[in-house]
Amino acid sequence: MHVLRRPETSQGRLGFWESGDSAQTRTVEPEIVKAVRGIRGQRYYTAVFELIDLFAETNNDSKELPVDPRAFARARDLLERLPNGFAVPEIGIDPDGEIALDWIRSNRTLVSVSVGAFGNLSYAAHLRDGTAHGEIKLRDGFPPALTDVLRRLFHPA
Amino acid sequence: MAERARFLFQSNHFSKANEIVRPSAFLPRNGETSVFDIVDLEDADIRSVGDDVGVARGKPPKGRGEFQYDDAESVGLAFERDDIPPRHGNLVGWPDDGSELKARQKAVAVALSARAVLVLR
Repeated sequence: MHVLRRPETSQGRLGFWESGDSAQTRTVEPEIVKAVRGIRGQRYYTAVFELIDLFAETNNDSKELPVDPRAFARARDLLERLPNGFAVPEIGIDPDGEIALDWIRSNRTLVSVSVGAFGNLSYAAHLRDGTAHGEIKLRDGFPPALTDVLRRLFHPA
Repeated sequence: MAERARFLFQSNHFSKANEIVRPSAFLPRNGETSVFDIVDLEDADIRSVGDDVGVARGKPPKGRGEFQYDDAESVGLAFERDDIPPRHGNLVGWPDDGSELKARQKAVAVALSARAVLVLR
């Protein structure tokens, strides 16, 4: 079992470290490190700490599926492309091990996107003006279908 | 009074800030979602049920999502009671084949999230 913890210092950079079965601390899989280093500013720190806490919590819970680092990398890709004006989502893990990104408003409207290891995105939205769901592949740019539902969530007509 | 409860053991299964159960908490595993019948139970009794569930996990629940049976039925789900342990059952009737399967399951989970009430310990 790998237990991730927040780094003490890292020469101005945040990274993931783990303690495994051995007492020696070593770096985690490069995919996970890459998954968080690309996110900048407040979004970066928010996502990094959420991911660290999430990893620690999930890896300590034998009832939960292990998380595929590739899914985190794809989630990073999606977060990096998030257009300005949209809040950072809350991050979680689905029962099938996919990464869940949830944008939630206080009026109980929400958009939920699940990110799979191969860039497959499944989304569902409960909005003031109706509902939406679908599956898309993460390619270039931020998916227009997600821009549409997030715009409807944060800027309802 | 709520009729069903989904116990929450992971902090990423609810949003404290927005007081909502997140969709991941409701998504099925092997086609079903474990819930409990809490009809006629007081808060302390529901907590006790949750604590019993937590014994097997080695930790108590961090909270629960409460909802009416009609909430589940309105999104196409049914409660199949098995009483193992007492009052336990599963939400069944999730989309289980066809295209966009995960998205259709998420649509159900999102709708249930919007209706459920988050109760934290």
